Amino acid sequence: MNILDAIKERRLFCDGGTGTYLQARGLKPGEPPDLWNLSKPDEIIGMHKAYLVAGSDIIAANTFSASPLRFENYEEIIAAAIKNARLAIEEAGKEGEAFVVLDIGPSGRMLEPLGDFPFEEAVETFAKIVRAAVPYSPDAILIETMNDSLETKAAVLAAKENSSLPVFVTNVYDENGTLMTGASPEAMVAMLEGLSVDALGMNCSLGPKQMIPLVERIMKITSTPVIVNPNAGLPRTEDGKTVYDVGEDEFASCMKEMASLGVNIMGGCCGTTPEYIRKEREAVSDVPYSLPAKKDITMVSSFTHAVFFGERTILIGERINPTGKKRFKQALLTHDINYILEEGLSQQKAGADILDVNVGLPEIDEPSMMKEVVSELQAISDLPLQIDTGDEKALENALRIYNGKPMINSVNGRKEIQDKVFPLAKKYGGLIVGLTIGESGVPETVEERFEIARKIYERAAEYGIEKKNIIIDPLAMAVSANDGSGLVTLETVRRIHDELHGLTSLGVSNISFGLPERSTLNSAFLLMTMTAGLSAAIMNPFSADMMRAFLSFNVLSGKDKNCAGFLERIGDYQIEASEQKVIKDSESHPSKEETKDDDPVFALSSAIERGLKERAADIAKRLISEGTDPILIVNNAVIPALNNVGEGFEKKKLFLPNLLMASEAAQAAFSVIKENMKGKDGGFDEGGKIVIATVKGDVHDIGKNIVKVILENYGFSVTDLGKDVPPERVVCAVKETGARLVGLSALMTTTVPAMEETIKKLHEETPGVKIMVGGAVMNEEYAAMIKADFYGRDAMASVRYAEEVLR
Amino acid sequence: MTATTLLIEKENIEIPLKDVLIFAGYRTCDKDSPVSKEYKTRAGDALSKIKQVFTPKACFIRSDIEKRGEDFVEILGMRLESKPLSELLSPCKEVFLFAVTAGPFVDREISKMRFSPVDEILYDAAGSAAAEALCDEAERQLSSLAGKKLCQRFSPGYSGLSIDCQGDFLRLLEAGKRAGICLTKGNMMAPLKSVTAILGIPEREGEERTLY
Repeated sequence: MNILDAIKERRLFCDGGTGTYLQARGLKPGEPPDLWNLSKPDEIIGMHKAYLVAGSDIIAANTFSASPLRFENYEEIIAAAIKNARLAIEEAGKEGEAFVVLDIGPSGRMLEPLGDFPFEEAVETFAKIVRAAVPYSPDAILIETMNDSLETKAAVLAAKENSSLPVFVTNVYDENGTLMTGASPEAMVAMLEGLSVDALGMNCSLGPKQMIPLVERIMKITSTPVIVNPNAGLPRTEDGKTVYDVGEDEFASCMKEMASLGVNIMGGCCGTTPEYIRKEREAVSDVPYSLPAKKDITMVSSFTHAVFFGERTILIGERINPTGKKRFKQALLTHDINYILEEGLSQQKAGADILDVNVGLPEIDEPSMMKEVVSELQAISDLPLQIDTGDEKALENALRIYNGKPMINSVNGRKEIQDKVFPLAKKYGGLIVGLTIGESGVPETVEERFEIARKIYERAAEYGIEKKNIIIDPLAMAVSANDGSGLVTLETVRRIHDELHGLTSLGVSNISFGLPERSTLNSAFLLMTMTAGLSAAIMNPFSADMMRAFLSFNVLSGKDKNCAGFLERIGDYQIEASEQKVIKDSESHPSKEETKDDDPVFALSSAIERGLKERAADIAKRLISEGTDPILIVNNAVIPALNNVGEGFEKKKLFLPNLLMASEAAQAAFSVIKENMKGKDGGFDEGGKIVIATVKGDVHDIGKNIVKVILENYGFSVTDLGKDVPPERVVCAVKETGARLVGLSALMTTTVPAMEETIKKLHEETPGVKIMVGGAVMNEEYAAMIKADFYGRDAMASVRYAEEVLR
Repeated sequence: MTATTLLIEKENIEIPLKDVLIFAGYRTCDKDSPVSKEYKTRAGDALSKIKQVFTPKACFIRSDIEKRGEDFVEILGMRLESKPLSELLSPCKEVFLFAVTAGPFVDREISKMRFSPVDEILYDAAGSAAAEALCDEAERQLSSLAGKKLCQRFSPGYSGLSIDCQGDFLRLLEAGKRAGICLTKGNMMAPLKSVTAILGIPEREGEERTLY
């Protein structure tokens, strides 16, 4: 019987702690247990046997950290570990009853963007482990002790792409009930079920008691068998030894509760011994066993939380999309990722539940842009994403690195599209939007659209995709072109909801295309579709009319508990209030000079010097709208203000906060001015190009960031390579940008050699390029010694030197 | 003994605004000017947010100093080459190694501020202040565990001790599993606001040393 068949029939028991067991037998702190597979196989076989005798059905091969990142001979270790486990089963007389799993622990590296481990490198690292194990035929792969969702995904993909073995996953939840990088149990269930793992659950970190509420949450929503391997409580030190605070009996009684909740596979983790497993097995023997019931729950997830469909209408922000947006197109063309990210963050603030991401433009490389935008967005926003693309490669790129279970926009009734998208959705997981477009376009009747929806469900099922993972978009078409189009959409929404019990999603605003007062129509249509049972609205969360309708519907339909959502947000959409706010802001910083003289150029200068960014932007807007030449605004207001502050700083009359706040205000004015300089964008970059970096081995970059901000405000175009930058990358950036000046920063004494090496390389490979250095460990003498051209004691000194070199 | 998780209650951690301001270069400024006041207010906002999102974790291990020379010490098979460190630990037979982190959400919060240079600096400063406060708390707990005052804390990257030891450090502490701290290729740590350090346990009370 294979392990999956066994789970269908009976509760299986894992083993317990390895480290704890082996330390009692002489393993030293820091000594990897994995090496004992080769040096002390008898000890390892003995440990496995002890667990088997105590009642374990599943033995984890001793491969927790047998990674190519750690051991050159990882293949040898893995082979020996699986052989040892098999031998133990044989010696214990449990052949055919007990199973060996390949045990994969975390890599020890943090994945990008939080760390520096690229996703594909992580997948390949885990893949090597899997490939090393496959020839020795473990019964399954156990990916365990994972405290990051994205790393978990990398390991699951590696397991699935390199073997056909069952995959079990257990994560580590902390006292907040999340993984260390933020995922809730619901988010993990959404992602792992999307990836079609064979069992999921938790191990380590918490004691069994603390795990019970988390297990309950998982059981409520999962259709997948659940594994729980807790620690023997929390560790503490007693007479120089680590002891755990939950004894065998207490452990066993908690595990009995877990069994009653429906846990299918159970064992122990740190601090547990064969005796714990024996008592656990004994305690749960009379608890009836069953597999989790299939749940008809639709959810998507981000790296922190899951969003559930069907309870209330979900708001999908539509603004990350170049269609009809000049500024957005420009951002894509000039690779202005920050602009795109800001669109994401502002929609989140405005109340979006999910962000649609569409970065398709014929002129750009969509697959690579999609990958970058998804990666960057999920670094700063915790909203789930809807991957919106017609490009198969872009879709796969996004699905691979997406940290959770996304929405996929979209398939339609055409087989050709379905054959491309469904296999990807099946592999990576996702809630798929199905547009009611047939082979001959968008049908005009409700019946035809309804039929396409039905067929999409059927085709998805052929790919093993359940109906709960499909959301039908019955398409809102311009009512200006066809009087009845609103009704057709509404009726289709209603019938899918009532007759098929399916989910629907709609790009609501399309209804008003070609008519004036669009937001009035959009908000009315939104209310009508929500009443008809719409599950998700793709819309602009900045539209006050639509947001008022959205919030009102939730209250009036009893879906907003205690009217909390309405009360929290409705204030944002009172027009009078927001006008008052603008007036109040400008009044809160009265200036004697301004009341004397209301020349707007002077006022702008003054606002910048006083670090008032909103005011600076407002005045710049006013000047532009009055037709003032942008160049004049820069030359007469922005630059003089920055110079005043800069000089004040140099004379020690003003200080770093003044310098920074003025820079921020100047940037706010700049961005208004730039936006209005048609065709002349970037025209202020004639100041010259500079590459800056914190050198390899050094992670402190505050000083460097300050220098960057100030340099940019003086019109220099700065390429910031970040921190911990190897010399080769600096050289490469200088060659690519043609910069004639490089700024290097180091804070720690230990990284000065790296700075010296970078300077040497720059002198060799990019002769003529000037190098300025700064940072806490630097001084003039030191700078000269490592052959830098200039030591900048502060940000303004760097500006002055840059002016000298580049202007 | 083995590596152990150090329990840190978020509520017990005080992060002084003063520290945030020091990290953010406020020390020398005209404190009465409106700009400075605004800067201070925003530093306070940054600190509130960081306090809200930080997820403190810590772990430690206690060990004998196995070998020592004039310019090195060896702890749990890890050779740490630094003369000042060796001097600092001269009254000690034992040490604590520890690691603390303010957690990944601090990194994310700082990263979110990339659109506002001032806030980016203030959030970063608040994150650093949080890490400092965690070090102080870890030190307090370990000192109470040892029952005496400890030597000044010493971190890789300072006074000649190369950060190449960071990997061994984190492994011995099982810092990945216990605190979610990982190593980067350049031997840095992720999350960003993480610190590893050594604390000497002087043999006799009152013999604890400081670096300078």
